[in-house]
Amino acid sequence: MNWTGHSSRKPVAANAPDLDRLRAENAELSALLKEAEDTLDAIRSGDVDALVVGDDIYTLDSANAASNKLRKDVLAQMEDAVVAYDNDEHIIFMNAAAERQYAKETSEMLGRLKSELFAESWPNPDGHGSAVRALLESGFYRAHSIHVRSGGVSFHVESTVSQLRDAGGQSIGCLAVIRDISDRVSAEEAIRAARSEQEQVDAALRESQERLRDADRRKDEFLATLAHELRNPLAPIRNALQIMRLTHEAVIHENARGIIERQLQQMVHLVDDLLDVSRISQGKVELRREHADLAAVVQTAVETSRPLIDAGKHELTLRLPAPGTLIVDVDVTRITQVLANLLNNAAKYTPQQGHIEVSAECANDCARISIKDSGVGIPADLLPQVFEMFAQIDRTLERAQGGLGIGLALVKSLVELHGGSVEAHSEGQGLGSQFVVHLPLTVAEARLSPQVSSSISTPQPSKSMRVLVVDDNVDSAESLSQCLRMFGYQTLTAHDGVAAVRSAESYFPDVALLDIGLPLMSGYEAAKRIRSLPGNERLLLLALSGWGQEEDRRKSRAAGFDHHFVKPVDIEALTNVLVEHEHYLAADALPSPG
Amino acid sequence: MKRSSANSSGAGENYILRLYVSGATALSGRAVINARKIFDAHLKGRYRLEVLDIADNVAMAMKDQIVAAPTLVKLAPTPLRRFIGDMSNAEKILERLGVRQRSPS
Repeated sequence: MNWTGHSSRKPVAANAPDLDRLRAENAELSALLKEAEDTLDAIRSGDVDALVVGDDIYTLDSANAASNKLRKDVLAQMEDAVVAYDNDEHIIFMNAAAERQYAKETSEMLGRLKSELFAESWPNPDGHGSAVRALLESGFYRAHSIHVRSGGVSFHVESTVSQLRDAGGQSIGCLAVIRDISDRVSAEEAIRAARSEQEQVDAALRESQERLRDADRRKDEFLATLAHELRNPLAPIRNALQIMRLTHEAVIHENARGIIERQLQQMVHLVDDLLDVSRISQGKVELRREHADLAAVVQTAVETSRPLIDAGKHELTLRLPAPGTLIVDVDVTRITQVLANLLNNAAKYTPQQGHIEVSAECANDCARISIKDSGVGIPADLLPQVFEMFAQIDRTLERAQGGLGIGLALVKSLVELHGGSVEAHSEGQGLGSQFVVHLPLTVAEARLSPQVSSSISTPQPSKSMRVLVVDDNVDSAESLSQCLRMFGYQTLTAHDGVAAVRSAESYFPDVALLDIGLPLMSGYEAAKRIRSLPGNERLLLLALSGWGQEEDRRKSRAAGFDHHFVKPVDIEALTNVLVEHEHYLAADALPSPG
Repeated sequence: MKRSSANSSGAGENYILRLYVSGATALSGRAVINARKIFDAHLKGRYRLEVLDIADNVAMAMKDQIVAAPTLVKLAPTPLRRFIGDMSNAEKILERLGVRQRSPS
């Protein structure tokens, strides 16, 4: 060790006087001497923990030197950050992983406060408190927290912290092994999110299952009611037939026939309603809108419901606008059906000799039709449900009155199809009900179609027209044909497409009425062939189909049909077309004047 | 941030210090903490302290003529000075390093 040699390389000032130079050299030598003394003192008093001897370092705690070296190597190799700090949280050790984790160099951080390495926050509010308690009580804790290093970068860590003690057992600080668990935490969060999503899906599934079960239960109830309602009229019909077989008295026969007719009418109503509901819910109903006088439509509905109103001996008050003043653009048949339905309800749910009040007026750019009765009313809690399909207000009552609870659902669907709305009001049970229908008014000037104001026009009977009726349902073909014969037409029936074409060849009909779904040859094909027969250019081709969508009508036109009727065919409309064709043929047969 | 003292290229940094320690022993730990405390208190923003494990830096320790750890070396400004021990005697260190001007004994 040659400290003096080292210091001699440091001349004080080049041009200083000798005295100054000597004084400086003296000071330097004194300092060096002091250093040497201090060093010896420190070594003697144990103020050093390592000595450099030759090329080797001698750690003074030689008993533990080997294990210390091993520990140091282990700490250096660890993937987890290791930080040791004293009781005042000054950093006294950092391994390489800690340098990487906190982006700081050990040399720079030693002796500094731990808080300069990272800020710590606790996801669990008591996390810090319980960590401190555990450290005091057991000298150890493991906890999850969030570390924020310089630059604001934060990550989740799991720290394992234990007390450091000196040989005498005194606490000298802590050793923290800090593992970055951000990946694990985000994976756990993803799992939690997925799980909660799964739970939501499960809940939605359960809910929809519940709804399905509910719908299924309502369907079962509905079917039970339906069976009951369909069987109801059968008993009197069977009885009436029995009576007719047992006696030949004309009066009794007439009564029995009346019973059968009435019961049959009820069944027809029931089935019609069902079909309508089904068609509307499948979007298969097309409105045949026309400008119509609302007063006349209400009148027609009242006439339709008249038997029920009269049967209940109800007093009916009508408040209608002057004819032709309230014009709506509606499917007259459907709106008549809606109003008749509401009127029937009013008549059914009002005890004998009640009051029914019908009014129609213009209100806020709408046509407002009100049907009010003094009947059994609707409990407030059931008001919101009255228009629901199959949701009967009072099952027992409904049964007693005979019905399926679909009438109001039908009313609502039809009114909404028209762009209108319907509301139910009631002050409560026993206090009567009021149904209010709003329909949009037509913007256009009132131009009444003649069909609305006048009642049903009776067709002019004809002796001359020949009608070919084709339907694979023999009863349908025969009954329609019989009906037409009663109107004075000559008819012939056929039951498949091939027979239809053959009949047309030999029978020369003026009109051919063809079902579309025919065996052997479809109605479309049969129509094309019949049309192409010589002399059949002016033949009236009428399609008869279960389907009335625009697409079906387009196909019919393409096949050469003049009109498309939807089953069940409205005889009224059919005979109107026949009369028109008859006029056309007659006009054509006359030599044109001039 | 209290990091300015550690920046190697600070403009006002005129004390360059190196502290040789022996791993994370209690004594060396104490020496580092004390040294840091002294310089932060008296040379704030004007020093750079490098802490080296003597076992990992034998060659440099020999070049710096270190005989024991912990030893603090003042590399700049000249003259070069060493100070051995746990750095608990702040006054003595400051005097030795020439931070406190005292008439040489």
